[in-house]
Amino acid sequence: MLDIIGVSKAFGSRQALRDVSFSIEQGECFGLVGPNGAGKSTLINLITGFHAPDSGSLLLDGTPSKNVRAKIGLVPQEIALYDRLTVFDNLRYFGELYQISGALLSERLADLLAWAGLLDRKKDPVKNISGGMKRRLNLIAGLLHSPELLLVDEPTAGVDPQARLFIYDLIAKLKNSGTTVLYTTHYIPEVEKLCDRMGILDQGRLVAAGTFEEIAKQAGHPELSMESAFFELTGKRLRD
Amino acid sequence: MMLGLFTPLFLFFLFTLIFSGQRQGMPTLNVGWVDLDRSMISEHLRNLARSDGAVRPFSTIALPFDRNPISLNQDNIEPLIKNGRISLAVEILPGLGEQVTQFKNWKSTFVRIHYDPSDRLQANMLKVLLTKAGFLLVSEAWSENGPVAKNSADPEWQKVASDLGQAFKESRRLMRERGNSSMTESFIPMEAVEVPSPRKINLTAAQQMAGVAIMFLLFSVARAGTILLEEKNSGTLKRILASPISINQLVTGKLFSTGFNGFAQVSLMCLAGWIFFHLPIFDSPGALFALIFTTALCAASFGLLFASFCQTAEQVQVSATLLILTMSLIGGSMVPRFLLPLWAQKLSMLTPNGWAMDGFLKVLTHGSGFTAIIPELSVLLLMTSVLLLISFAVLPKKLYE
Repeated sequence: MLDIIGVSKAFGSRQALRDVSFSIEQGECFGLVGPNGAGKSTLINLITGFHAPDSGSLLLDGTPSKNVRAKIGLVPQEIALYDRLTVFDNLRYFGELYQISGALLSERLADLLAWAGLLDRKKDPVKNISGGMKRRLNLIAGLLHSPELLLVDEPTAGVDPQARLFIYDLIAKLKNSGTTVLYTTHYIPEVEKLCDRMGILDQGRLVAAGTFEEIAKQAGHPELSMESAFFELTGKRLRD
Repeated sequence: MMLGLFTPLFLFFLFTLIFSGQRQGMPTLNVGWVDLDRSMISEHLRNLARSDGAVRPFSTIALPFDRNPISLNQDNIEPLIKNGRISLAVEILPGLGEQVTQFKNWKSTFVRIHYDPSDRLQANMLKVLLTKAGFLLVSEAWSENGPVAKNSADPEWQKVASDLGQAFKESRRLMRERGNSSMTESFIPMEAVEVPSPRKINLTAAQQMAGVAIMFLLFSVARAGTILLEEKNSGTLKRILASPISINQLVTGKLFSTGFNGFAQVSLMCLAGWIFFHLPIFDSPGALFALIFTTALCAASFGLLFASFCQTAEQVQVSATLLILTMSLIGGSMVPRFLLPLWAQKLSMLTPNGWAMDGFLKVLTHGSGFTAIIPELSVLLLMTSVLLLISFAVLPKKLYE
C-alpha cells in the first residue's frame, strides 16, 4: 500500500534521511523506531507532503502520497488543537477540512467522542481539559475521515498508563478494521505489542526492516529481544 | 525585544518631527485663489500670503478624468467646495487696490474666504494668515516708498492721509459692532463665507468615525498574522496541511475571513455613527459598501504581510504597532492631514489610511457616489494587489519551514 523508495532529505547541512526504502502492506501495522533525531517525524512530513524529498518517491497505491492526502490521517507528535475552541468545534473544523459535514460528520463525531470518553466534555474549551484528554482528542481528530492510512507519530510520549492503554486499544481496533498504520515511537515494547513488522531508523538510515524474527536474525541471534536487537544494530551512544 | 525597545523611540522622533517642523506652528494650506481686482495690491497680497510657505494659492484645478485644468472663477468656487474638490478659496473683489491705496469704500469687504463647513479650522487659520499679510501689505503701501506716499504732494491725497487715522478708528469700531466672532481685527476687512450644504452632518463624528475605524481595523487584522504563526508553531498548521487543503487555499481563506471580520467591524462603526450621530450612511450605500469592502480587504492583506515577515506573534504585535501608528498619524486617522507638514501630507498618499479617509469623508460629508471615489478605490485595490503578491510569494515557503 505505502511504498517508500530511495527517499533522502536534507535540511541545510543536516542529512535527515538517507536513501530510505521500505513498504507497508494494506491492513498492516508497521512500527518505526529510532532514537531522537533519527528522521521518523521527517518521514511522516514527507508522506503528508509537508516537505518534499530531495530524491526518491513516496507512493500510496502507486500515487504520490501528497496527492492523495484525503486517504491519509495524521496524529502528530504535538497536540495540534486549538486551545480556545471547544472539543466539539475542533473536531468539526478538522472534519470539514476533509469535506465531511452534515449528518455524517455528526455521526462520526458522536461515535469518536463516546469511544474516547470525551462526550461529556465536548463543549469544554480544549485549554480546560487534561493532558491525557488532549492526547485522546489529538488522536481521534486524525480519524474523522476514516483514513486508509493512519500516521501516528509518538502518541504515547508523556502519557499516563491508562491513556496509553486506550491508545493501544485504538490501534488494535484500527488494525482489525483494516486500516493501515505507520506507528512511530521510542518504545520498542509498544511495537512488539501492536505491530506486525518493524523498521529501525538511525541517523537518517533504515538499518533494519522486517518481521521481529528477521530483525533479530539480522542483529545476530534469532532469540534476541527487539530491544537487544535495537542496541545491537544502532549502538548505545547517545544521539542528542 | 529590539523591536519593542525601538518602537517607542521611533514614534517619539516621528511625532516630534511632524509637529515641530512647521513654520510658526502653522500648517500649509492649499487655497483656491480668484482675483477679480487684478491690481498691484491684490497681486502683492497673494505674494505676501505665499511668502513664508503657509499658504499655497492655486488658480487652476485638474478634475478627475479631465486632462485640461480649469481656471477658478467666482462662479465655480462654491460648487467645487460643495462637491469636495477644494476646501478653501479666497475671492478678491474689484476695489481692493483702491481701498488700500486711496481708502475708498473703506467700510466694504473686498476679501472673501469661502470654506467647507467641515474645514472651519482651516478657514480660521487662513484668516489669521491673511490678516498678517494684510497688515504687511498696508504698511508697505503706506510707507515712504509706497503708492500712497508717492501721491502725497497732491492736496487730495493729503486729505486722505490726514483722515487715515480717523478712518482706522472708525473701521475698527464697525468691525467690533458686527459681532462676528470669527473675524479678527484687520487692516483689510475680510469676510468668511461658509458654503452652505443641504446635508446637516456632524462633521467631527464623520472624521472621528473614519479615522478610528481605519486605525483599529488595521490593528485587528494584524491579529490574523499572529494566528497563522501560532498555528505554525503549535503544529496545528501541519495537521491542516496534511488534509486535502492546499497552502494557497489556506492563505486565501485567512485573507477573506479576516477581511470579512474587518468589514463587519467597520460596518458596525458606521451603524453606530448613524444611530448616535445621524451620519448619512444610507445616502450612498453602494459607494459606502464598496469603500468598506476595499478598505477591509486592503487591511487584511496587511495582516498576511505581517505573517510573511515575522517569526513570532510577539514580533507581529510590535511591528504592527509601529507601522500602524505611523500610517495612522501620517494618513490622517489621528489628526486632520492639513495640520501636518507638507512632506507628511505627501507621504500620506502611501498609506491606506489617507485614501480610505478621503473616500469616507467624500461619501459621508458630500454624499459622493461610486464614481467620485473611484480614485480612492483604485489605489486601495492596487495596494492590496501589491501586498498580496508579496505575501503569496513569501508566506507559503515560510509556513513550510
